Amino acid sequence: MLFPTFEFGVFFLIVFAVSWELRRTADLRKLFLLASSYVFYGWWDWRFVALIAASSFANYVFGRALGASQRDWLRRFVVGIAVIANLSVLGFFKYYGFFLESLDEALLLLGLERDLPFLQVILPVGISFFTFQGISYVVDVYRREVAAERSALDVFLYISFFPQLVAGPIVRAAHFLPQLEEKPHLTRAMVGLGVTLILSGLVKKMVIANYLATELVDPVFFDPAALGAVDLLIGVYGYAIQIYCDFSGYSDIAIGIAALLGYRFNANFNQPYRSASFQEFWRRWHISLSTWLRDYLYIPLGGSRGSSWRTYLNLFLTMFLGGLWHGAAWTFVFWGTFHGAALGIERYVKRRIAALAPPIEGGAGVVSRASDAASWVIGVFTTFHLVCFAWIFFRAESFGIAFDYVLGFANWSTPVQYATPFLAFLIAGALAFHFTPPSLGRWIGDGVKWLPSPALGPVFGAGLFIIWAVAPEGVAPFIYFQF
Amino acid sequence: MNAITPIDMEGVVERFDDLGELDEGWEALSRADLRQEEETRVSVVRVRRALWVTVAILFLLNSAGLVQLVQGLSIGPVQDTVIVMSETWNAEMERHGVTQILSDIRARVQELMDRSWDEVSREVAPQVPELRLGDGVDLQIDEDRAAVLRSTVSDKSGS
Repeated sequence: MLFPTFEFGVFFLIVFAVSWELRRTADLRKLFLLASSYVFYGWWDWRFVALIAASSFANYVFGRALGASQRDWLRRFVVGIAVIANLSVLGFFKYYGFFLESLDEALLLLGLERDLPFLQVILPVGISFFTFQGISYVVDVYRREVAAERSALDVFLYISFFPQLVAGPIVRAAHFLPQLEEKPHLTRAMVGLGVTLILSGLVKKMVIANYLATELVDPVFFDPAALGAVDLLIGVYGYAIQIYCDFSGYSDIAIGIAALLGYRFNANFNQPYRSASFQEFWRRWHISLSTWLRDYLYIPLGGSRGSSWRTYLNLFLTMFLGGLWHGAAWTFVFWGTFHGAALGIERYVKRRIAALAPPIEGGAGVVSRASDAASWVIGVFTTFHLVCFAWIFFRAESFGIAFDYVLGFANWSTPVQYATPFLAFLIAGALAFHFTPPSLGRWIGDGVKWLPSPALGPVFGAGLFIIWAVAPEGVAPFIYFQF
Repeated sequence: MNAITPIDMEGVVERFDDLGELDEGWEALSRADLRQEEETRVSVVRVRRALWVTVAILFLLNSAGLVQLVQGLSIGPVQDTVIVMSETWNAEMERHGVTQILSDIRARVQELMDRSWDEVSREVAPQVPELRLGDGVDLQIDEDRAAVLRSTVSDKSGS
């Protein structure tokens, strides 16, 4: 079930009405939300409901085992088994085919051709997200950041809660489970935030991302060798905006829906293209994934506690695996590796500059401020273009297409085909949004919060109608569903 | 020595204030809980009403979408009735010109999509009075003005 559809509209009307009617009986409400989440997930393929239920059950049992054991070695053993079990399920569904194909190609190259046990494995929607949430739960219990949950219902609902089930944001057990203990509560502020986020998410996804996908990005990436540099340049800018609007739009809707059901999720994006460095970019882009990778991968690897080279290696490994998490293809591996290398180089250069020219104490003069502003502008421009370069590999079907794309930037003679004023306006508008005040969304939310009740319906209804009317016809799936 | 631990007092004071004023009855609830429950009740009613108004607006303004949607239903007496009702509703909306709003918005968006760079630059460029030969204007002046507009020479006229 996709968010911007009639089916989801009906589904949400029922879930909203019934769940709030059940607010005085906490367990019944949770049971209803769990059943609704399974209906939502089963809408794609009922067979995988058993998979998510099994994953939830296994993590609940692992959590209980961790809670019951006091010996350190036993706790380490249990958490190790839990992480391996979660990653094995993810590995089988997501990487089995990729691994065998890569092995087959390597054997062919070495002249050792073999018949390998290929299988047609269907990738369950959102498996990467609910697996990461399962790992988050058992590791948090192991670290004693949350208590082992006694209620199986709470663990099942935490892993399966429908707003974030298929494409995030990745919710932490320590953040969500305590909310399930509280009495559900809906405030005016949550209503304002929910309505604002749902409308802004729909604009991002249905209008901006869908137009850019159908009118620009899909045709440009289909055969980049046939196009000139201007089209390719606007094509990659378009993809940068498309993936941002697609994914942050989904996150906005998910956070908005959760808010209307009385639950709070943390923000997943924070104007990422205004970042003046890669480090800042990863603090603003897919925040729930980058913090997950930091807490459950980078820090256990040693983080920045060891030698400089060890830190660079940890950074690199984290981003390499982050790239692989996005998809079973070498283009994603390249994308992750590029970001890992860029983070490492950036760290090294910053440290060298700081060592050679330490910042002057109290340097708040006009020249200093002008120089800061100039370096910020250069940083934003450079970071954005390097991120765009990496997006080419992320979006391209293969390395061949990605190389054609990059080589095409030398071709300035082919006439422009796709760079129309309409698309340029969409891209420029979405980029300009990144430089608006960060609290803009909250201000609008506050405005909606104080709308008189008779005005809320017309505002929401008219907003939905205008989005529906302006958006291209048809419903395109969200990009991150495939991950 | 006693260590003084800073405590976030938000909400705590309110709870202490309420301790002496528990409602008597079958359930003892603090005033804060009652206020929270009342706020939730009001907010839920508010959103539910807003969602129904939204449904009504979409039925009214997007009746063509409704027809498109019900045509995907399987064959059956109930489904047939729903299809007939939706088509009648859409025909009524068409008759009253309500469906025109959707068509107008889509036509406007299509017009924006079809706009070329030349059209945009013509709209954006400053309006220059059209100069015609034979109106007492020298051809050389016309060429100079064109060169200034193309920025190939600088404007020395002082105008």
